Amino acid sequence: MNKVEGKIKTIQVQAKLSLLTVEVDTILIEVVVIDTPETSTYLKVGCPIQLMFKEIEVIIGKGNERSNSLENKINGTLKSIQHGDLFSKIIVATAIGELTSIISFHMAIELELKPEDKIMAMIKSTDIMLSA
Amino acid sequence: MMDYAPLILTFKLSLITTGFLLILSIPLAYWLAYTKSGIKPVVETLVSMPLVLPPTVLGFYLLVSFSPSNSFGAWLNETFGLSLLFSFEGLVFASILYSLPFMVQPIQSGFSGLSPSLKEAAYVLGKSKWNTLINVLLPNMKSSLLTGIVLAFAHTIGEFGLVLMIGGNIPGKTKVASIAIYDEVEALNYGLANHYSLILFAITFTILLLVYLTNGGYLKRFWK
Amino acid sequence: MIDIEIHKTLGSSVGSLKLQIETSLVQGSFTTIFGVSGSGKTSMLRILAGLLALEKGKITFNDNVWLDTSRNINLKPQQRKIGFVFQDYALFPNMTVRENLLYACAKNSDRKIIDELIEIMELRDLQNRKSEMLSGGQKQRVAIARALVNKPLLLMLDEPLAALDISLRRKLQDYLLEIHKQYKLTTLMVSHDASEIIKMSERVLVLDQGIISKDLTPVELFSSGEVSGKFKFSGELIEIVKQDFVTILSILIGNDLIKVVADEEEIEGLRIGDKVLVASKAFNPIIKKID
Repeated sequence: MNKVEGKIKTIQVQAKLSLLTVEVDTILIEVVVIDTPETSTYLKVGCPIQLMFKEIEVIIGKGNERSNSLENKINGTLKSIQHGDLFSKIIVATAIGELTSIISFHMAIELELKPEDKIMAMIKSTDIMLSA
Repeated sequence: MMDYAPLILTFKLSLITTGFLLILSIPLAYWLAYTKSGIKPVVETLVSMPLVLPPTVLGFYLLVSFSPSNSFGAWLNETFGLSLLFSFEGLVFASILYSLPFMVQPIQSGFSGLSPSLKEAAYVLGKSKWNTLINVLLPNMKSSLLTGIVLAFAHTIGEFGLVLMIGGNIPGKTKVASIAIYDEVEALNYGLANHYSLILFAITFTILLLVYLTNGGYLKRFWK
Repeated sequence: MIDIEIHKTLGSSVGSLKLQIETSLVQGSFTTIFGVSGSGKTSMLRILAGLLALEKGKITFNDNVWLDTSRNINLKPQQRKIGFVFQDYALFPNMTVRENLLYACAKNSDRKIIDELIEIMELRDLQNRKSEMLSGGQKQRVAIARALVNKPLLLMLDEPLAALDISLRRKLQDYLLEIHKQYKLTTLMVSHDASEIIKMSERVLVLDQGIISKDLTPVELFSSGEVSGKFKFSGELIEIVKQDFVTILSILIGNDLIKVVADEEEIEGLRIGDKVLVASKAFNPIIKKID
């Protein structure tokens, strides 16, 4: 599981849903949760918070392609890659720290991923969990 | 010629003893089952003593204390006009002591075997201790009561040494069946001794068998 | 309003526990006591019922003093007008269902309530059966009905539904809620089951080592804190199978076996038999009606 620490910067509430932006080392991460400041006391601007998302949920893109619907795109450098039979495990160094991603082995081959590649790690805002 | 008086006396003694024992043992067993008092082990030991003590020991001490030359015996005689030595009343008293564990122990384990929440449930429903005892506790330990009654009854039938020590051998008063058998054997009347013995054997066997059948639920199944 | 102040040292096989409870219950409320076993939940109920003596404390029901050790007042369980549902039901085996209720009914009180309760708890067909001949759920219904015959001021239930299967449990929860409302009871229940607590009670007292460590609403208890995932269950780890960089965990939740993909770091220190929390964002699961 990837865990990064940040601070809540903005909160936009609609009925039972909240759209947050969380600032992690100057980078803004967008998160949607089924919680509101009324049901969860930690949903406050300025509140320190931990973001959690699974390795499987981290999508890897090569280069700087931004034309997709994923809310969070973080630039980084491929630090290491390990191949298994089905999966490949990739560690990306980014401005918010090292992120781990698990993608299918054949996609890793197709993308010709190798260390030092400039890549982009992407996470959907609905895949990120919060922990106070 | 067979004399039925000793047999009748035996059953009279057993019946009266059992009656007194039941009245005495329910409160005693209740106390033993629920008390947290420190003297419980001592009381339990005293109640159980007749199980291991030779009846003659008990008989000896009763003989000494009932004796009119002893202050207790004299006091009994003066106050109540009661002479417990060589009398039927004395036999009843001695039998109660002697058969006490046979009545108390099954009833005590009957109380202990009931879930404590039964009693508590009745209390919470506003029922007094007495009401709870009569309506909830006792009706749910019928087999323990039955066991106690029958064991005490059968055990009293079988007592010998104690009767010999304090009852003597007075026909119609203290000459119970077990003494009569001993008498007939002494007189070499084996036939008569055999008669008494057979009757005692058959009756006690039947009583015990009925208890086991009832407690084992065999009779219920049979009737269904 | 029930004001409670309890100080009691409980001896047990694993050492002694100091029970120190100070709280009050609003009349008509439904409160759950939650906590691991050995935290003093049952003892608290028993003290309120007057079944367990204590060194120091005070319990008042409105202006009625049930217990005040400083004034040497200690009402017997008989005098407290409470309903208590025991973990083992404690039905009187020598009586039928109806007789259990009749026996419970105080003298000179209206017996109409017996028929009413038999109706609500759907005991009509069982009323002439001996309580030994009943199933667990049936016994439970009788025990609840019996506790209500005298319209208690305070109804206490000690893990009443723990031994029952899920569908039966739901039904009994409904009965209990209906009765709680209909008779305007003040109810105190010991329970471990999150869904039950959320459904039934408006308040949870978390007992920890003999003291109330948390006093909050069920929703606060079960959804705040650790993670924000709305799709959250606790279960028991049954199997761990490693594959490549991921590990498949089989987890038993209630009666359902689920599988979760985890990574190496997540399973560190996990062993089969462990209790685990499974949480996910609520955006992924799909819903299908089961016929």
